[in-house]
Amino acid sequence: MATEIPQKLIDLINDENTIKVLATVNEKGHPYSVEKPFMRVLEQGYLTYLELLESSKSYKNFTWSLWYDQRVSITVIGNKGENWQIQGRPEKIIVSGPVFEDHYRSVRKQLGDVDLAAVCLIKLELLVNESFSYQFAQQEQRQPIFNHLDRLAK
Amino acid sequence: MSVLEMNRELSLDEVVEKHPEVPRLIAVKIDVQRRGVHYTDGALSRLDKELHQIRGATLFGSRDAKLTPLPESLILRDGTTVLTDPTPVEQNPYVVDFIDGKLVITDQGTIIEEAEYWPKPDFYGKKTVSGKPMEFVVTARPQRLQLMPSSYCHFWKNDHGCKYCDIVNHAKHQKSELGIPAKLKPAEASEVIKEALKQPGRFSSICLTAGSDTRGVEPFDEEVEYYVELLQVIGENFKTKKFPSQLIATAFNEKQLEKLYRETGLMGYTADIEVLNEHLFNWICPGKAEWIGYQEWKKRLIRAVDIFGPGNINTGIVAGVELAKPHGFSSESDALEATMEEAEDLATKGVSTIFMVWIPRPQSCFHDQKNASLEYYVSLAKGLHGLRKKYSLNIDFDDYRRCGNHPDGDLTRIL
Repeated sequence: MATEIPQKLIDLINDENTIKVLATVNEKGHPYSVEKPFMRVLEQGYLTYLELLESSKSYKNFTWSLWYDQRVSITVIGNKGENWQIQGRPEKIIVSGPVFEDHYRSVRKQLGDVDLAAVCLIKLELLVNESFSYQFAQQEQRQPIFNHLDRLAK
Repeated sequence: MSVLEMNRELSLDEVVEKHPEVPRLIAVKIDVQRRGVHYTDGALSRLDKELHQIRGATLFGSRDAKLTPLPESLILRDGTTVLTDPTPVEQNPYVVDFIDGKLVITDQGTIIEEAEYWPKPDFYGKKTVSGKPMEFVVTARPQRLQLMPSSYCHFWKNDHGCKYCDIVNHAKHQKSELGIPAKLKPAEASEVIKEALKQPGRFSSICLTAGSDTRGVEPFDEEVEYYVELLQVIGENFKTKKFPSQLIATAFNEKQLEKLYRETGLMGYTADIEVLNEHLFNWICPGKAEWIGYQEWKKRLIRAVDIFGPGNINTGIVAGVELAKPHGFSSESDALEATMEEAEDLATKGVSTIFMVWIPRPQSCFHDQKNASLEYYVSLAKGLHGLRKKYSLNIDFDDYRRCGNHPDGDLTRIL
């Protein structure tokens, strides 16, 4: 079962000004991260990213990850300090049919003469709020030993 | 002792566990192609003739030897195309069913994998100016346009057709029952291509595949002339001289290959050697042996690399026929070793080998034979993919998207 995404995160992901970085690994375990602007939440629990390049390392790694049921991760960075780390599993690669063709037309309308390799569906499994203010507050509360002494000195 | 040497065939799960380098989805594809499918009433109730592609004109016949309007085939959730056909239940095919709101491939009642029907292209159902259904002129795969310029093979004139092939019998069957012509008119083919291109994002390549035509001043000149004419007329639909395309044809001589490359928009060329063993080639493909010969076939493939460029030439084998009785290899391990040795020889010279799963078709000479085990095909896929890695050979023009019929080629999509 896919993880439910809070509405504020859906809005953040669907905002075209938000930076979304997809991290994948290849068959040797080598990591690869690249910004993927065409990433949206189209259905609760699932992310869709449009892969414009058939030759991209991300697409090859994504395919490998689907084949071997491996997780991929997405970093979502908003312009107000929001920072989320998402993990999920590749669920589907759509290369033909009405869904593919809808996205093909829309991406060409937006960018001009570009191509579309695939519509990639990711089933979300883990959401972590990685904004500094949130994580720092959590650490201060849960692990007070992680302090330099001068911060506590009189 | 390897399982390839033993009598008991490993199950899908056992093969996947033993060969983790080949993903389960590709093993599923291989096995579904190997065993065929049966569609339940539940599965067929989900078939929407407005949305899904129904089987149309084909170069080869199916295992049920029928032309009934069933689903063309299936696509898996990684975008892998499965080319399979309806198979009589007594032959133990996979069963495609509709369970819990999903179309699924099942085996003995167990769900193996989700699948979808191929989407119907917009040009299907339309007619040419001469009134012919467009799907009888050009057919579709999920991302490819397929033309069968001629479904007559002249090797059959003296009964020297390939023994696994049913092209001529099937062409007669299609012509008598559906009125599908044995030879395409170039202008009509171009008319359908033009219509197909009106669907943005649907197609990424055009493939021509046909029977051999021995006629001409030099053997096969007429076949080449016909392809040149056809490709030139099709090319008028494009603004670039070259367009993503593949010709699967006879192994032509250098002069013929140069003409094809120079005078058309063709980008990729495939001359199927069918079986990588000279002795078996002579037995199984007597027409190819008579008119060209095994060694010359290989030489022509190698010369084609110089003309079309590395990565644009390959040869196909009908994997499993090397085990056909009575002259084939008696063990799968011997067959695999011999095939890989020859494939490597070609790979060192820039020629990729890809395979198709052999289907003993009812209207072929080998109709009563059995194809190889799943493990054999998985091992072959792994081996051929390994050669491409070793020799840095790509087969972009014949990959999972532009073709979809070669399990080893599916692996290459992550290279």
